[in-house]
Amino acid sequence: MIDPVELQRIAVAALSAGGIVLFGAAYAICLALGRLKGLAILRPLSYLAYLALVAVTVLFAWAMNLTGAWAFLTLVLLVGYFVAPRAIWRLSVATHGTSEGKTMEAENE
Amino acid sequence: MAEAAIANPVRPALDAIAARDTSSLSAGQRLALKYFLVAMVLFVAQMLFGLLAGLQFLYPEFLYGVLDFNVNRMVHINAMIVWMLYGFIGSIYWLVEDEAGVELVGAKLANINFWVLTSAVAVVVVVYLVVQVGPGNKMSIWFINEGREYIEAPRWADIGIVVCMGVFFYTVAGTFMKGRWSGISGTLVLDLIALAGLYLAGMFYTTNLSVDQYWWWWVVHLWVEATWEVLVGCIMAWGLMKTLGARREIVTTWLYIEVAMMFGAGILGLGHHYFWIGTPEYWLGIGGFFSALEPIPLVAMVVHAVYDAGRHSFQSRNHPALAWLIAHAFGNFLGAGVWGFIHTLPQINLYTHGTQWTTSHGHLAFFGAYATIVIAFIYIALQRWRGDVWMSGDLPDRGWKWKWSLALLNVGMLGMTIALLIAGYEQSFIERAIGGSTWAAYFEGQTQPWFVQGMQWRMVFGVVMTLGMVLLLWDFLTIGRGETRPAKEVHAPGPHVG
Repeated sequence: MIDPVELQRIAVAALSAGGIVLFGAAYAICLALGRLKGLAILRPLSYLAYLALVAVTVLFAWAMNLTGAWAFLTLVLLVGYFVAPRAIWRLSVATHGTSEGKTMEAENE
Repeated sequence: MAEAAIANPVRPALDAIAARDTSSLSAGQRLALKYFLVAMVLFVAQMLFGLLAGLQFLYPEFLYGVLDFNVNRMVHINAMIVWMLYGFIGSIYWLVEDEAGVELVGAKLANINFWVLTSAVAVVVVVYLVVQVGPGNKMSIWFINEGREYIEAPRWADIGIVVCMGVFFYTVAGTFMKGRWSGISGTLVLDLIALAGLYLAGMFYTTNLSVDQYWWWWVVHLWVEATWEVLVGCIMAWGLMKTLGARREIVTTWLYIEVAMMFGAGILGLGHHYFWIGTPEYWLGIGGFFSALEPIPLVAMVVHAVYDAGRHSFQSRNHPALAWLIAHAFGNFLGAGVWGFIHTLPQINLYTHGTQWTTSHGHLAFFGAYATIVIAFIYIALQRWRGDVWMSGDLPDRGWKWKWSLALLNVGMLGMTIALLIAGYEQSFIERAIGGSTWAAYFEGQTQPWFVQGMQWRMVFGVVMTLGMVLLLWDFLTIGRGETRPAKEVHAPGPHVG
């Protein structure tokens, strides 16, 4: 069963949903740029973006009534947005490294 | 020649353009130019009928009984679908010989196919406009309008489309079979089978409306969020090699990754269309869950974009094409990712589906994901057609036409999307959540100030887009003409793999 969004929470539900994707992208950009350019400041910024992502996800779960089995979705979103950019980073390093005759380890240094 | 026997009123114009020094182009590329030309004609039609439909929201009496809203909307949407398909087909014909390393197989047949398909499209549109009202029966399904939203083409045209797609598939697959295969071509050919196969799901009726809608969504959703996305992935992979000199191994690997991620969430994301059509309740969970996952790959791919941009000091040989490829990345992210996710769960979709909120998402997603890539590819083709000339920075007119058309089209689309979202929000609130979706609530929602003002602003931004389109077409006709510098050298693509 679903419990529809309450009238007063339609805006919160929509804005928090948009926030999830945008903070997810901010986290991904900071993570990638930080590793690529070796900028130390971007690492805490990436975690800050992820914290904001957690906050809007909790808000989203509250506004969208993600209870019961739907709570699992909240967990999947939090894990997915955290893990997927890191996985893509590793894939990027591996594919480009192989193609350019470099090892993944060397790229990570 | 059989080709010459096929009458078409636009043929002289097409031939005049196609005859303009195409000697350096291959048969596939010459054919691609024809597809691009028709795509642009349909793009213009899409805009014009969209403007008329937008005006009818503001002035419901406008053209009432002459060109009704339902007809304008139908032609607006059908023109969009068909111009994008023409753009994709043109792009594939443009790249197929380069990718396969041999001449196009069945070039004459492919040309006949183009004229048959284009004639059929013209006849279908004329019939839409001439026969706007009347009883719906077997005859009308076969010869006038099948009555299925987005794919209204009558049954005879449906069958014709499948035959034409079969010929298209034969020429493309045959060329690769005669020449060489690559990761891109393999993915492309498999995708074309799915593309043609899925269309069959929209070609039969059942008396149960829920069952009927169930299959109809296979065409509408799985085309857009599966086969079209893969097609665009293939076109983009080839385009990145040509504009940036990206390495073949890398683009091919990432094409596979993209396909895997897209199918992972995109296929069952189909469930978000099954929420309210009478299908079992488990679709609420399946559709909601997988739709919510769909933006994650888009976000994750941001990492690869940053990695690529930072790792390689790419130099573009075609600035307009690259700018549109970047617009594609942002447009897809915002339109499909952000705008899709904000109303994809059934908890909120209960109120938003079928309102201007959905329209807002549809406009930005289609423009961002597909219109942009076709425009980018046309710039790639034009560069080659005009003699592989310089299209990087420092253009004679500073490239003002392509820059302004890019800006106007994108600002217009974004403005229109936001205006529609405001109207849709009000509609979801007043008509659905408060009014309970009654007939009276529908009209009450349409007269609220936020709705009306949203529609007014949509019209303003629609005009902005139209100005952008005019500039774009002007640029297509002039860019590269008189240019003597050769195109900038970029890294050569790596060897074929796969």
